Amino acid sequence: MQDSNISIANTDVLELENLSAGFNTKPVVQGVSLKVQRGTVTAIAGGNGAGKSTLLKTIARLIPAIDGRVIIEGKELSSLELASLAKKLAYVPQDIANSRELTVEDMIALGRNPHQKWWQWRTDHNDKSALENAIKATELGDLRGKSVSEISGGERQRTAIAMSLAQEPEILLLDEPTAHLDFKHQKSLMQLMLHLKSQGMTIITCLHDLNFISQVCDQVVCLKKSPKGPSTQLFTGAPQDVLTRENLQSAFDTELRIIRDSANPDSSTVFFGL
Amino acid sequence: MALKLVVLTGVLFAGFLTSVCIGDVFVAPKEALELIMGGTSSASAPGVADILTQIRLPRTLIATAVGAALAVSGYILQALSRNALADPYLTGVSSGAGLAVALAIILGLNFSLMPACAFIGGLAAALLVAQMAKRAGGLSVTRLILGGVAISAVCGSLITLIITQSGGAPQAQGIIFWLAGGIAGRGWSDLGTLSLYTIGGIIATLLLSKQIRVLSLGDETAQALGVDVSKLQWLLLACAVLMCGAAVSASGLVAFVGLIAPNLARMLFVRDERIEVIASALIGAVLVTLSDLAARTLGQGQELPLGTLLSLVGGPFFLYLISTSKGEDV
Repeated sequence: MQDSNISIANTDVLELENLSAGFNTKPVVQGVSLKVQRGTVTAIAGGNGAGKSTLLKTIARLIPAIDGRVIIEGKELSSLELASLAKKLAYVPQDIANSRELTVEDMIALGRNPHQKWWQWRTDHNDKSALENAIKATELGDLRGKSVSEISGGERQRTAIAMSLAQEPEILLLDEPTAHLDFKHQKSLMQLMLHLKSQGMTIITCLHDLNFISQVCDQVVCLKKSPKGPSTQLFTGAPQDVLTRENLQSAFDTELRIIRDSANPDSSTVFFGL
Repeated sequence: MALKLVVLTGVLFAGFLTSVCIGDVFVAPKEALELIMGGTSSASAPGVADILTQIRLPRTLIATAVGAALAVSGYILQALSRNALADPYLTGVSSGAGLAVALAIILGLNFSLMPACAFIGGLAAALLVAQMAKRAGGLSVTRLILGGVAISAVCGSLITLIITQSGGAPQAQGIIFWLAGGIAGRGWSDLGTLSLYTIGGIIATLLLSKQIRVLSLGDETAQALGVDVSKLQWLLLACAVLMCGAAVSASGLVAFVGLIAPNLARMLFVRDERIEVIASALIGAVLVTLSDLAARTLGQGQELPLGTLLSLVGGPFFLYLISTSKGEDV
């Protein structure tokens, strides 16, 4: 067991090769190359409109790559079957559309879809334990019977994350997971991500929050919008190495300062603004 | 939930029996049941057995099947468009199917080919309307219904043209008769094809009901959950148009069943797509059976069009749905 853990560590589970992503052959972002190791957290950062979500959706195969390749465990993304891809990789959008009265529990249970037959409603032992684990990890136990339409935006976001955990994927893609969360739930999301990472989950997430990135992520790739043409990859590396004042000022085209917590000098806490 | 389904089934059975018993010749329910079950009844006057088994029974069965088919067709269209106001009639699917059937009648095609013609016509109309109403994350209700109205108008005019240009051919009479939306004169021979499509369509929809639920989360999320979204949408559309086509070729244009039945089903039951499909079929069957009963008993001396009662109920129901804004952003 110990050996197998060591052998799967330090392997690239996902690789982007000179990837261009966009809609209808028009690239929004181009030339992204990246290696993601198993059991790490990678952030995609960048200003508004830099193409973070577009890149993430291309990795999730929701939109086809315009150029370049996405390689998952040595296999090209487009060669995988949809259902087997969904067992490996889960994607959580910024907001889930659900108009009708599905309960929190029913919605999370849909995460089991790739593991079940397409016509199958009955849930087996594995489905039930995956559902319970997902509910527990996202602290949604009290809300499980509530309708998705009557919970808050943050609770809906946690429900969406729980649904993706019920998928039991190896790779988790999160699009702006902190967008609807208050401070407390942002903190529990950090803890959840670190917990998932410790269990070998690979996480790739679009994030705006530099503090969040510096505390949780092992790697950050920053996209920069170009005045003419698609965005490009500005810098990539460990947060403590690349989240420098110069890099960030260039990425966001604005002045900022970095203030380190004097009580904890190792954490690179970034405050930006006036 | 089980109780409500039993009650619904009971209501359908009662409506069915009433429809079989009432008419120019009244047949006592007990006698009717004997005739349906055993084929003979000691109490019946000569001829009554024939009226019952050759006319009323197949006619009522057709009404039941038409109702169920239109209701489930509407249920699917609502799921596909993520909009509670979609229905085969309002979206132009029925009219497209109707035009194809009118063409088939004037060309003198065999009745068994009608459902296939209706399918092609309905599919063409559905694709045209869907193309017009497309927007991110679903279909726009306004465009869907406006497009449906436009297509219905065009198809209606074309049918009128076909009738008037046919130079009084006997087939033109057939179109007019069929257009009014009625199942008078339909018999056992028509029931076979219709029930085949209806039962097949309902079974297919039940099998797809779990995927319908996944699809309700949005195209992207459904795909991320391993669903081949466009394949699923095509399959569902095919089911909806097949059932609608079969119903239209049997009964002409019957409005609002596909709108009322699924909405009532959703109001009556907590969300479970399997139950909703079955309940929609049952409610649709009740609606059309009662509507057919009203059509042939309320008219003085002549039959009313089948859709009369339904439109009388369905129109206000449609307005109610709009006013409670169940349609927008559903």
